[in-house]
Amino acid sequence: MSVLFVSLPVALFLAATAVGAFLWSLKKGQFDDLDTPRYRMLFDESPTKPKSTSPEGTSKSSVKPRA
Amino acid sequence: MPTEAAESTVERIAAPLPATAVLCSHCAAEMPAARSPRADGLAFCCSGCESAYGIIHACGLDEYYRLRDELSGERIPASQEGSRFEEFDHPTFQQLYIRPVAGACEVDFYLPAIHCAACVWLIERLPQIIPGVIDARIWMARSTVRITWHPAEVGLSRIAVALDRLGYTPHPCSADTVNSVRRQAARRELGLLAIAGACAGNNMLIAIALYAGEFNGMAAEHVTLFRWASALVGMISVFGPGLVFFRGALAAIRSKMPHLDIPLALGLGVGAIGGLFYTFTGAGEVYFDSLSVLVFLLLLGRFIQGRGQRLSAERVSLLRQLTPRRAHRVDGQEVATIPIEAVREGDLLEVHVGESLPADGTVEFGTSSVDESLLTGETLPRDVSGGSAVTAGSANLSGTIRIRVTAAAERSRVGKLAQLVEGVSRERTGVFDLVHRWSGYFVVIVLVLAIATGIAWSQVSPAKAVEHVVALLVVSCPCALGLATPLAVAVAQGRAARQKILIKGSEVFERLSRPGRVWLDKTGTLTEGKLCLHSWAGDSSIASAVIAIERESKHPIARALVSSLEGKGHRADGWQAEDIRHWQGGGISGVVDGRHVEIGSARRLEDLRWRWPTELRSAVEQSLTVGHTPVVVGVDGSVVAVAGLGDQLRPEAVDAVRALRSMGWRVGILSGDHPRIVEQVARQLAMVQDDWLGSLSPEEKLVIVRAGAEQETVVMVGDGINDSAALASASVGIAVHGGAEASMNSAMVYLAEPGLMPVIELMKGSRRTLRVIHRNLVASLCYNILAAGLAVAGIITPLVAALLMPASSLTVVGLSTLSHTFGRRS
Repeated sequence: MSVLFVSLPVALFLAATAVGAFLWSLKKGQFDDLDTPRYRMLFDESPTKPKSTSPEGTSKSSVKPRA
Repeated sequence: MPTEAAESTVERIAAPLPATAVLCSHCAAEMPAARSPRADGLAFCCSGCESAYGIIHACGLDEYYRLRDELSGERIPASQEGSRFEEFDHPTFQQLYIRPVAGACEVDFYLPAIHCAACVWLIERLPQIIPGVIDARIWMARSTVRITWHPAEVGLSRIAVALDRLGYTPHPCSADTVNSVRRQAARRELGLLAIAGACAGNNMLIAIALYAGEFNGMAAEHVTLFRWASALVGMISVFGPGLVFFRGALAAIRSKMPHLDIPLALGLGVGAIGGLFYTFTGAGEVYFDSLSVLVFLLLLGRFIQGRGQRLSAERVSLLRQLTPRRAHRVDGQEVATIPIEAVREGDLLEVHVGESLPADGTVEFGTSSVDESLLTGETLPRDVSGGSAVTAGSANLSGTIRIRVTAAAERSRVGKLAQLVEGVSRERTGVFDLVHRWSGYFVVIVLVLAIATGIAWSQVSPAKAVEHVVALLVVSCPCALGLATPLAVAVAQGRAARQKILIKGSEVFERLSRPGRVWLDKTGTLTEGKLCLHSWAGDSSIASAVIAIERESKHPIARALVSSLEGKGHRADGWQAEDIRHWQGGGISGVVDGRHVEIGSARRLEDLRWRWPTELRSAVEQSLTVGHTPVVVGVDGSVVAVAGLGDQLRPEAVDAVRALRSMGWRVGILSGDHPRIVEQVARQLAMVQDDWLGSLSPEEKLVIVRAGAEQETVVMVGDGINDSAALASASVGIAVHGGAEASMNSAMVYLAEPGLMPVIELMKGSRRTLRVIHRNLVASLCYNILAAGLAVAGIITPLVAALLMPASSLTVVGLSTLSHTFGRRS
């Protein structure tokens, strides 16, 4: 059972990484607006769109299968 | 595809309606009779809608109409303001609101018209509508959009014009420090909650291993390992996210006010130090899992409590809402359009008909009448001429005037009022007094118990004494107390919101449970808030001519006359009034169909010395006695008709006032309107002389409400800017539906449904909510007595503590969510 001496710190480290990732995304403003994205995901990609604007295009296509 | 969409739009609108009604293809409003559908089958109620449709259609965005109909019933008519927004390109504006970002510019606009997903869809396609716009991102909860664009390719004024045409009039909102500080605080709070949550979860897992080891046996070195791991995680949560409780306790001790943070910090501190000591020595019990869960649940309670308050806070300031965005400054022969921020004292400004005044000043040139109802609540406009003082925010109704600025921006009367409102709002503490009062007793009882336990156990078994005292302090930590109230309040707020009652502060419930004084605003709260025609004496065939003349005026009486007469079926299509003249002292004249028509106050017609039949004279007297404003119509030398206009009492006002009285509240009226008109309303509501006051300035309302609030619960119910200071300083301010946004922001409660009945529901719901809170407090107190009893007896172990704590929390969660507060009993 001495593996515990390794696995417990590893487990705690993993948990800390997850918390760190959350804090990072929080700092980037990902959790500022929790209302608009739920509307945005309802829209299908417009077929007549002349040029794809970069940040929107990626976020929408990843959400599309759920809609 | 665009043409297909356009056709389906027409079909959809035409299908469910009778063949006679034609609806606007853009906003789906009924078509005015003067406009006919276009040759291509599309119909527009105004040129604004036509150009909005043009923009949307030309960019292939017809999808908007489909989305809008699917997602929301509401429609946004296009703006008819037709402003060119040139002031947005002025250097002062650019300096204040625009931020440079990587070769482009960024600006935040507040768009009050945003309300549904279709709006998000349409506005975020702004880059398709205007070349040069890089990105438009909407933030729904704040109704703002962040626009990034290349200033070299397109001017901001053009973007603003496009938004305005689509029906979303943009208001600049500066990224002011208050909002960004608040946002940082919200992020920090969520971050701390995340850390506390992760610590609690992990520590519980570690604790499960320890308990399992206790029952089934476990190697000593593993026990040590897990105890150290538990101590590490516990320390992180107590001295990381948990630090807020120590800070709060310190502040409470310094200000000598009882506060829930004191018993919490005591329990956490003793638990952490004791636990650390036992971890080092390897003997005794550790409670780190309980401490971690405690910190998490308490922070969760606070987070829930703060949520409602955070949402409401970010809005455009009161001053910005009242004053126009631009002013016309006279420089010698030239008139230049400048943003409001560039107006200085001593400037000469030109104000056109229909505009609102950008600053306080004195009239230098021209005569007009100004509508000051926004600021004072007075329904009828005031005449101004050379030398008259005018205030920012009032509307110029009948003639172009030039004013010399005496006070601009913050120094104007509106600016001072805005500062007053913001100051009063800041004074509000937002603490839940009840819990803190209880926690004062709590600390004393727990400390006495702890000392007694320590003394008693040191007689019996000195080695165990410290351990039992630590256990007592940890288990009697008022976790349920800290969670019970925020949760009960949050649940009640959620239920109330479903009833269209939006409650911002948690203290509302406690304050409304004890009846005191209710002050009601008159205009817009007790009454409908708009003038309408109540009586018409004399010749009704003249009505069409009256419409033809009065539709040329922006005076509130003129507009009320036109809409009331049109509502009664009178039409003036094809009639054209000529030689329209506005008269000082309330009057308008014109020539319709070859007849000279005079419309005005009784005094104006008196001055003309026209023939006046006696029955029409008594009609004037009659409408004066019932509190209405008489409007006299004369044709070619004789008076032919008298119209009585007045503001109507809301249908439910009498019942609502009666219901409030039966609940023990004393009801009164505070109004800025003329005492004679207030008296009429007060009489209909069976109020005695001392209960109503008229001709009050916003500042006087504030003084009355604040003085009363020092002695008893004072509730202010109002809707206008002139109420906002009083709303902010009342024990509970209630802003009614349809009011100015400034009053919404300064009040603690906003009714999103018209009428006064929600006020009654709010009072009843508050009583029920307070009962739930009391029940929760009793339940959590029972738990604490039980736990403290076990600890004093020395039978508590970490396992028992770990079981008791969630059990008590679950009890209050259950009690809070299942109890009936607002709405129908489920």
